This record gives sequence, structure tokens and C-alpha cells, in this order.
Amino acid sequence: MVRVGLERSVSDQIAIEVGRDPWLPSSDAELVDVLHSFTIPLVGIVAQGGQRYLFWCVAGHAAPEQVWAYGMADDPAVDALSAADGPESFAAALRAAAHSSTVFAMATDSRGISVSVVLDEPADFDSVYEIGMRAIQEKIREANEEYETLRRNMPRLPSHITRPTPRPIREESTDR
Amino acid sequence: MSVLEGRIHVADAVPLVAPGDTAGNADVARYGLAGTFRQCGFRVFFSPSRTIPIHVSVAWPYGEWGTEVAELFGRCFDGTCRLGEIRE
Repeated sequence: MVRVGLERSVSDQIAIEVGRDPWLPSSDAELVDVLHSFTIPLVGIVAQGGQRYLFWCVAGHAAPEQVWAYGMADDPAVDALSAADGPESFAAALRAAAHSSTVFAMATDSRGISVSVVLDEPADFDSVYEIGMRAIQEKIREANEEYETLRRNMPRLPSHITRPTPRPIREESTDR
Repeated sequence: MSVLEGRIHVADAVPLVAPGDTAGNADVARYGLAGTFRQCGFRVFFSPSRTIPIHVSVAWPYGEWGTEVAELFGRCFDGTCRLGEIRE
């Protein structure tokens, strides 16, 4: 991702900021449309840097921890999602629209997005969970290795990384 | 907070909440009576959506939905709540 000042370039990969809500994953993102929600937005369109992205909750829909996928929102697929007139047609439209997720993220209600990865290859609806979780596992493993290397050079660093202070519990809304 | 109307089986609830998915081993459902939530101070009302026709909303009309209210909400499912315990 190339950043020019505060403007982002158009990219097929959404830029994620840690601590943000998954449906508004950066300070310059705009929530365009919520297509499905259950307490929180679970499927929708978010705009960033002149590009529209489809976001959708992959797992943890009604849980305090979730995993999320992001991919380019192509208009025909989004139109089909918007036109779906019931649960079955919406599910079918989502499976079709979520055909090329490029970014995968983990989030919690209390801390927002905690970690995200850009996938090596776009993943479809059925493969994104396994591919995304494997990529996150690898990212965490690499981060732990880097920390251990740092700790060997700086022995005063703690053996465990202190967790950041949790955010307030999200405000529950009845219209989501 | 979102809930579903009726004592529906988890296998029927999952496709509504998680479109495209089917119930797995880790999926569970819990059940509560609307009257219990109302007696504890919650506002319960139908709010059907395009993707969830049996969607029901549970709201707390007395201020912020903090930890205390979240715990009360949870206890309304198993009946261990005391009616009106936070409202007064």
C-alpha cells in the first residue's frame, strides 16, 4: 500500500488499522452500506481511498471474538446482495460476492481489530477461513520469533508482552 | 442486542445469523422469555430485516449498555436475574 500524505492509493487490498471496528477498519474508511447485521454489522460495503470493499464476518457472528474477510466489491455482485429478498438468496449472493477476499483479520468486541494479514492469493467463501487462519498463525509466529530475537539483545524486556488496556464495551444498538 | 424469535433449533438459527454457513459443533443457542427481559427493564421489540425475518431487538432504555447491563441480559436467559435489579 502506497500512502501519499493522508490519501491512500487505490488498491485491491484494504488497509487495516489495529484497534478499529471491523466494519470501519481505518480512520479514513467510510461505511457505505450495511447489508446484514446481528447486533453489529456483519456484511457490508466500506469505502477507502476511492475504492469500495466488501467486508463480511467469516466466523464468530454472535460471539465476542470474530474473524473477518475483505475483498474488492464488484458492482454486479453487490447489486445481487442488495437485491436478495430473503435469507436463502442473500446467502447465495454472499457466497458469490465473497469470491476473492484479499485481507483477513481477527477482532474482539473489547479491542477491535487485533491482527490482520494480506493473503498471498485471493480466497473464496469456502477457503478463506482456513487460508486466513493459517496466515494469521504464521504472522503471529514470526512476530514471536522477532520478539525473542529482540529480547536476546535486550534482556530487560519482559518474557511476555503486556496486553494493551481494553477499550470500553461496545455500545449496543438496537438498529443494527 | 439482536436475538431471534421463537425456540428455534441451532441448525435453523445459524444460517440466518451466518449466511452461507451451517451449524457446527461449536454453535449453541440459548433461550429466554421476552417477559423476563421486559420485567428486568429491557425493551423487546420485533425488528425483522431482509436477511433475518424473525429478528428481535433487545434494548436497554435507561442509559449505556455497560458490563452490569450485559450481565443482567445474560442472566435473563437462565432465570437467575432479579426483576428490576438495575432499574431502581
